[in-house]
Amino acid sequence: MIFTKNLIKISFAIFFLSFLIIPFITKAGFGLSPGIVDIKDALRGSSFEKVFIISRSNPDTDLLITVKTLGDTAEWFQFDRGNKFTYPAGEKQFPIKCVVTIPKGTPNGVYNGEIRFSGSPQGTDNSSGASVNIAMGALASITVGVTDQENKSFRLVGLQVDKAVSGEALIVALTIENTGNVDIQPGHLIVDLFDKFHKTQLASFTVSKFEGWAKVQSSGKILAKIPWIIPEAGNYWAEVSVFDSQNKFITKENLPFNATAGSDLSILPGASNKILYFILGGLGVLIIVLIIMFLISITTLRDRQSKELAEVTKNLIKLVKEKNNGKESKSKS
Amino acid sequence: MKKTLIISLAFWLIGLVVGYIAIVGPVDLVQATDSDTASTTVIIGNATPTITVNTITSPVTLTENSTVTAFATSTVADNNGCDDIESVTAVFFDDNAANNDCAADGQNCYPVASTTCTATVGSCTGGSDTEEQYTCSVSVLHYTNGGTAPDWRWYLSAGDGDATGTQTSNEVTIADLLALDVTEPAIDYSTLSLGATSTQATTTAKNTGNHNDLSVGIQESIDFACTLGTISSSQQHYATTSGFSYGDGTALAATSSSPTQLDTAIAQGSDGSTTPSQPIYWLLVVPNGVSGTCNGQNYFEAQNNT
Repeated sequence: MIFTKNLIKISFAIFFLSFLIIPFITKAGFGLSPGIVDIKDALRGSSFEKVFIISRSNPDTDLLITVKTLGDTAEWFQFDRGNKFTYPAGEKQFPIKCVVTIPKGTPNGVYNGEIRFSGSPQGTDNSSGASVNIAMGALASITVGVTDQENKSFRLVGLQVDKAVSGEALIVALTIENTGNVDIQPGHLIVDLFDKFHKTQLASFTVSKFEGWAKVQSSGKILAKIPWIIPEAGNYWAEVSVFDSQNKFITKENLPFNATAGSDLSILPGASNKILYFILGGLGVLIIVLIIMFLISITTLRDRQSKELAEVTKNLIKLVKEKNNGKESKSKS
Repeated sequence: MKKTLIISLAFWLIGLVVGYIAIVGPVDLVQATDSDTASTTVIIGNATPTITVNTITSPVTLTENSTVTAFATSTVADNNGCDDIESVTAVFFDDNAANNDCAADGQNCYPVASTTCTATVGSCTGGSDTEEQYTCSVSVLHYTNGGTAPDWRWYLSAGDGDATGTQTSNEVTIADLLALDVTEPAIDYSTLSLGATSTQATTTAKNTGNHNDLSVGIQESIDFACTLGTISSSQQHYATTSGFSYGDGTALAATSSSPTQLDTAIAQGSDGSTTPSQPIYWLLVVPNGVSGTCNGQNYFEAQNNT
């Protein structure tokens, strides 16, 4: 009896103290890019944007992200989504923007910090069993060098023709990466234009007005309008030399491009502009000739009609006179 | 009257003839000029195509344990006409670790076949058109070399069957990717009685990014709470050596503290078939004062190896 009672007690104890692991349904890795942030020469008192991207190869559930900033730079990073937000299911990459502000009174030097991005799966039910689930996250290392000197530097990432239409100015697009600490544009460009065989130079321009900026810590698209009216549709070459704001040569690129026809004439596929201009010119001449012919024929017709009318009137008068003369001679006789 | 009509008709006829000559004459002239054929034979020499890189994807941001697509667009010019261009190929390579004739390597070299360098539809109109646009694309793996400096380049080649023109692009930045995955969805301590030590459980941390020597930090992130009572985080011990004794392992850091870095780092991936990993072994001793079912959460963190 005592043995039975003890057996029941032991069984209950084991039952209540058991750990029944039920596999957790959420399963995905956690990636952070960049994991190392090294900002050199950040200008004291400046603000700029920085983007972190969290990624998951298998984003099948929502993930609650908690952000914690640590170290010297903890107060410098402000996230636009706040410090707690949801990384939605279905997105392999999830960008998180933050504004980095270097306080005005910060002495020159190198400052270190960390940013912890920790994920916690959402929409899962832990209440039905005992388990030690697994959560994942990443810790970014931050290094910021602070200076009071402006640094205007960039590198060219890409160069392409943004718009090339005959009869209009050529527009070139530069993609530049800002490697300095203030928003930047190139200083100037020298653009030499060549024929389709890249043999005969057609024109040369210096351009120093641009549209767009590359912001600090990012890349930007800069547009340059070249004051060269493209004479006709076809292939051309542009040699573009890029200079910085101190007139220092950065790079030179040779760029072939195709200018498209600039008017509605292109609605006639396959017809060259030369032929189209001839056809339109001919039509113009025809219309003018027809108008002149019409006016001449109208005038001639009127002259003829006037002459005929005069003749008819003359004949009528003559006839009436003759009739009157006949009546007079009859009455005399 | 009759005479007048005849004269008017004559004027109109003259007008039509003049108009016809005005329109058709120049066109015929142009066409005749265009279609003139010479009886002499000329052999035109081959011109080597030139290729110019226009845009490149930079920076390339990798995705954990997956691929992302990077692009390079280019213009190919051939003075024999764009119809003469046969193919464009490319190599996307890490300028610090490889060169433009490298063999395929997920860390530093991606040769791109002509099948994935495609011409933009309508960019070559034939005839005297000498230029054609091409886009090359490549799927970049999660363990591809990356960092803060722009080290990668595109090397593009355009061929017309007889000659090949090449160009190397400006530098491309592939950002670093700090990433991990844990294979097991949970730590299974199985059924335990008070005071007993669990059998060894295993979790496997994988380096699913591009950091070499990835460190892993571990801590408790949600209290290990039971129906009655809570098991302290320090009751969970872990080690990177299988068969460790409970007292020899590292006690799990509490929720309130920071993750503890493992003593072993995980290497960067080097091929698609195996992801470098580190097993982490676990033991639990259930203290007195708890009963029922228990739920908790442990946190694994990808860290730079410092």
